[in-house]
Amino acid sequence: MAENLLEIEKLKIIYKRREKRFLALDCVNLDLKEGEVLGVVGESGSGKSTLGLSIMRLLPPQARIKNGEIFFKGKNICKINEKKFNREMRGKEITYIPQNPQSSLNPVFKVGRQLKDIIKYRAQENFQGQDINKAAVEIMTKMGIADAEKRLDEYPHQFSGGMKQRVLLSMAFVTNPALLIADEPTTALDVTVEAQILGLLADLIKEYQSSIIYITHDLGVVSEIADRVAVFYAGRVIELNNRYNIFNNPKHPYTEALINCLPGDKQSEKLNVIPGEIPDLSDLPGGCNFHPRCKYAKERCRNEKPEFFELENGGRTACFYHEEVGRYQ
Amino acid sequence: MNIIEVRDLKKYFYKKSGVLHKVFGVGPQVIQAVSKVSFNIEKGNTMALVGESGCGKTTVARLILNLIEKEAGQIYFKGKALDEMSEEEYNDYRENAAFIAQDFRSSLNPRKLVGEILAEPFRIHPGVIDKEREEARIKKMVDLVGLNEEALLKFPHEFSGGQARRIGVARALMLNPEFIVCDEPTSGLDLSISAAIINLMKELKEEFDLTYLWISHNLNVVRYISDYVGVMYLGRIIEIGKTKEVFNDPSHPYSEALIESVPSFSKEKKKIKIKTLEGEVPSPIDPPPGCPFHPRCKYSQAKCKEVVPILENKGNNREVACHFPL
Repeated sequence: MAENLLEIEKLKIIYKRREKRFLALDCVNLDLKEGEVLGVVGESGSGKSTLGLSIMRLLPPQARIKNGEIFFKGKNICKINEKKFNREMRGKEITYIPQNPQSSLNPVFKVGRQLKDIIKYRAQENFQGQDINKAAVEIMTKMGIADAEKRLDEYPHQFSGGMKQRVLLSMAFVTNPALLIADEPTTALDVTVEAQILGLLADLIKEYQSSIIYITHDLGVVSEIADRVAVFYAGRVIELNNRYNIFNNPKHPYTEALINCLPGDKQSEKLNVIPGEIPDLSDLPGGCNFHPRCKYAKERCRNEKPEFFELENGGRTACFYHEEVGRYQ
Repeated sequence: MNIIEVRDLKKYFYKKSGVLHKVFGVGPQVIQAVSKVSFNIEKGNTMALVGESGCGKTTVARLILNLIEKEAGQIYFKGKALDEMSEEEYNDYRENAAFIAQDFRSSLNPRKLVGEILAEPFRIHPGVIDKEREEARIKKMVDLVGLNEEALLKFPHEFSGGQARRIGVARALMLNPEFIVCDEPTSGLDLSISAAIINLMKELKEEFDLTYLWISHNLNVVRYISDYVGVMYLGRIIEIGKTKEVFNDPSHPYSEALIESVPSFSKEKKKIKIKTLEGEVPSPIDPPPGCPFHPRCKYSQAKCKEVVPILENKGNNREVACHFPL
C-alpha cells in the first residue's frame, strides 16, 4: 500500500477570543494519498478553512493547536522549526490557492515579478540553468493566459478575476508541489469562468499528479472534481467516503440533509431545510454536535459523542444510527 | 394582466475622464450597462433575470424601481407609464413595488433597532395603515418570516445572515406590495439557510399573491423558483422564455453554455469533463460589433460580426436574439 502523503491525527484547534474558547477543529482524522483529490465540504464556520491554514501553518495568533499531529511525507510538520518549514515546505512542497484572488496578489508589484520571485526562491531546482523569464512565460501559457510575455509586465489590477486566479494557479503549480490546498478557489468567480478554472484544474491534476485538498461549500463543484469527500460539521469530520457513496448513499443525517437542500428540477417540491442553526463553537451541545437538528436523534446522541464507524463501502461516519439514514427517502 | 412592462430600457453610465485622460485627449467613456431591454411580467408569475456579473441584471432592477434614472425607454406599471404618473399614482407605485436588496447587511441601518427599521415604511407612506394597527402588523410580519418578537428590540448586527435576510423580507412586505424585486436573495448564505429563504419566499408568494422579479446568478435556484427567465449578456436580454423550456432546450448559444457550465451535482460515478466557454465577458465600454457574444460563440459566422441580432419571437413565448438559434 502506498504510504499516505498526509496524515492528520486527532487534530484539535482552539481559538481564543475575549476569554471565550472556540473549538474550531475537534478530533479531526484525515489521510490523503498521493495524487488524490479530497473535497472538504461544510457550511461556514465548520472549520474547513482552519484545516487548510493549519496544514500551511498559517493559523492566526489567537489559534492554538491543542493536540494532534499533522504528518506530511512521514514528518510531523507541527514540530519542524519555522525557518526550515518556510524554506522547504510552505509555498514549495505545500502550496495554497486562496479564496479571494482580488486580494491575494500584491497590487504594487507587477505580476511577472511576483511569479518570478516564486520561481527564484522556491523552484530553482525545477528550472536549473533555465531563464526565469522563459519559465514564467511557459507556466502562464500553460494556465491559459494568452500573450503571457506581455502580461507579465502588467499589474494585478489589469487582470480580471478569472485571470488572477490563473496567475495564482501558476504560482501554486510552478513549484510542482506534492500537496495543493485550494480554499474555495472559484467562489468569487462567475459560473462560466468557474467552469474554465475547474476544467483547467482537472488537467493540471493529471499532469502534475499533485494531491489536492479542495475546500468548498458547493456540493456541485465537489461532485465534479473530488475523489473522496470529507463532510465537516461544527469542527468535526462527520462523514468521509468516496464521491459516489457520499452523494448516492450518505450515511450521516447531516450529509443527507445537506444534499436534500439543493434545489432540484421539480418546482412543486418544497426544499428540505435543516431546522435550527449551526451551534456556537464556544458552547457546543453535549453528545453529537448535530443532535439538536437531527431527525434521527435518540437519547444516546444527547449524551455520548459518536466515534467513527467504519462502513462496508470503505467510508467512515460519525453517527450511532447510520444504518437508519436514508430510511425516510 | 401585465403588472410590469419594460420597453426598450436603456441605461448608460458615464465614466468621467481624469486629468491624464484630458492631457491625452481621451473623452469621457460610456458604459452601456443596459441596452434595449424589454419584457413583461404577468401578475402572479416569477420572472428571473440571470447572467454573469456585470451583465446589467441589478441595473435593470434599480431602473424598474426608479432608484436610478433611465436613459431611454419606458416602464409601465399596470399599463401606466411611470413617466406619466401623477404624484398620487407614483406614490401608489412605490407602495406596491418593494425591494429586497442584495447586500442584506448594509441595507439595514446599523443604528436603528429592527422595530424602527420595520416601521420606516409607514413613516414614508403614512396612511396606508392606521397608526394603532402598525404594531400589530409589524409583529405579524416578523412572525410570518420566522423571527420572534424579541427581534424587534435588537440591532441588525445581532443577527446571522439568514435572519438579517428575513428582516429584509419582512420590511419589503410591510406595505402589502403586489410586486417585489428580489436582488440575489440567497447569495452569501449557506445551503440550508438559502433553502429556508427560498421556501419562505415561495410561501409568501402564495399567501399574498405576489409577483417577483428574481435577480440571481445561481441557475439552480432560478430553475427551481421562476416561471419565466431572461438571460442577459452585456446589457441585453439574449433569450427569454418559460424557465423549463429555456433550461431544457436553450436556443441561444450563450444560454446553452451558461446552463452547461453549472457544476451539476451528478450522481454518476465517472468524473465528467466540464464543457467550457472560451474567453471572458468583454468590457461594456467597448462592446464588440455585431452580436455581443460572437467572440466567444462556437457557432458564430460572418453575419454575427456585423449585424446586431434583435430579440425576435420564435413562437411559444420564446424570444431569442441570435441569427442562428440552436
